[in-house]
Amino acid sequence: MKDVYIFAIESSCDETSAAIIKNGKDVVSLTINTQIKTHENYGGVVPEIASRMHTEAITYVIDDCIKKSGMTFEDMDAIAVTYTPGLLGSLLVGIEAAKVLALTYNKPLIAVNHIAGHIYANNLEDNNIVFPSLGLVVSGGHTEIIYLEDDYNFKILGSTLDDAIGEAYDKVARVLDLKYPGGPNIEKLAKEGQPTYKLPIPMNDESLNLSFSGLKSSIINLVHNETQRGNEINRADLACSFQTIAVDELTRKVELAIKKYNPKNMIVAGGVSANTYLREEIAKVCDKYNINLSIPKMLYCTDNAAMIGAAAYPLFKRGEFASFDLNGISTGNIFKF
Amino acid sequence: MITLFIDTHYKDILLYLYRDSELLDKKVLRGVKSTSVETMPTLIELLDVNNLKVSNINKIAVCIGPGSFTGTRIGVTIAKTLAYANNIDIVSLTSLDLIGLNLDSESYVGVLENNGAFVCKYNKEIISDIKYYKLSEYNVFKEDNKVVDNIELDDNKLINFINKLEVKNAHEVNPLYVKNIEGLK
Repeated sequence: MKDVYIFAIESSCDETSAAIIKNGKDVVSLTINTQIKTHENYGGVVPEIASRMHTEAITYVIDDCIKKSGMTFEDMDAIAVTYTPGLLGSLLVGIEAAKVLALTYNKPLIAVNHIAGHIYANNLEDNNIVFPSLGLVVSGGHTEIIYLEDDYNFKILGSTLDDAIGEAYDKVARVLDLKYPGGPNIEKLAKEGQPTYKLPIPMNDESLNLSFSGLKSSIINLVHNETQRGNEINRADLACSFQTIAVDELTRKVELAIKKYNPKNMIVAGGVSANTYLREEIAKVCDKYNINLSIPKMLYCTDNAAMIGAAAYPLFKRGEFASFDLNGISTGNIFKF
Repeated sequence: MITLFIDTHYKDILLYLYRDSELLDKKVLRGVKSTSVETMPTLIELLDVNNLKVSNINKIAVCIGPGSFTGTRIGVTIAKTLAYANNIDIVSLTSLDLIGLNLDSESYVGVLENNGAFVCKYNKEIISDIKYYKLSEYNVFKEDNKVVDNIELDDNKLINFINKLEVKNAHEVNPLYVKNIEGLK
């Protein structure tokens, strides 16, 4: 069969990225322009700034990606782009650029769900999603336990009822005077501490749903109260306590899902899957139940266009193409692709 | 030499196709609900009815605002990607030019947006800083200074104006926002 090359664009949050993916698997070329340094100053992503920076970067990123591949747009079989979920103003920059490339080079346009992208990051390079599989999606906007029946046939078993885990990391990082993004910075600090703080365990129940807002609030209140009393906070211990409780609760819910659905394979996806403590804890559970675990390389865990190209491939095979009136949708439903 | 002019700086979509100094065709959509949904299909329709392909376009002219941030960004992203992908020239003009270029003598010109207006002094080109006024302030200023903010765009004057503009690097064509973001550090 002829090789399929997809040129993919991602601009849903604070990374402008383009990639060329061969057969949904091989990363021929990848360019990521991150805005993290700018948003660090604000303790989180400022949507209007993100949109402005995407507009400034978009053609440079596309050009860098195609040039270093040694290929041309004529060699591509399709143009793929993230259309949901994300910051609307940011999504639109990638979407309009993708439409222009599709029109100029007469290629089909493929609209990709960002969360599907994180899942299909598990098909890149040496990784393979084996269906059926249990999936854990953890990012700044999502915390979901999903049953992956087949390509694009997903069933949500449980999800967060309030904050996403990545969001909780960012907010806790702010009260601990840590820079955005919170995930890697809390993890670094947590390594220097012990889980000594007594914090409430979120959703201490047998459902597959999760909740992080209570845990986050209790930390904000604790820091507030201790500061008012003039007591010093052990930031490393608090970071470690937060991370231990949040990740242990995630792991406990994953174990519940494993017991209930008895999967043979498990994947972890989303920006928070870059977290080492989470990786280790999930790996332990998978070992215990003899389950194959797939987690993407660190590079493909955070936002990137390679995963969008990987997720576009099954849609390309099915001939599911988007039209030129494609719009961005800020709040995505994982059921709708 | 075929030029495509794109303007999506507020609620209207303006797409003009012209050859040298002669207008071939134009599409003007007023009060569009979604610029991202409507711009590209309208462009494709305009090219189709004129039996043209994207590859027939030799030059892009784009309005870089000021106006709606998202609206302007859509037109600018389409324009700069078209120029980049087709390796053709790009020029840019402002929404204030689209008012001012129709005038024969010095005047204040204004561009309205949801909660206010962008204003500058104009004489063949922008000759002052561009200021942003909230709507209530603007209405007073407009009364005192006879600001022109609503005038029919003259096709020939627009084409002559665009033809005199300096060619830019497509990567460096970006919206003119004027308004800063609140809390910007």
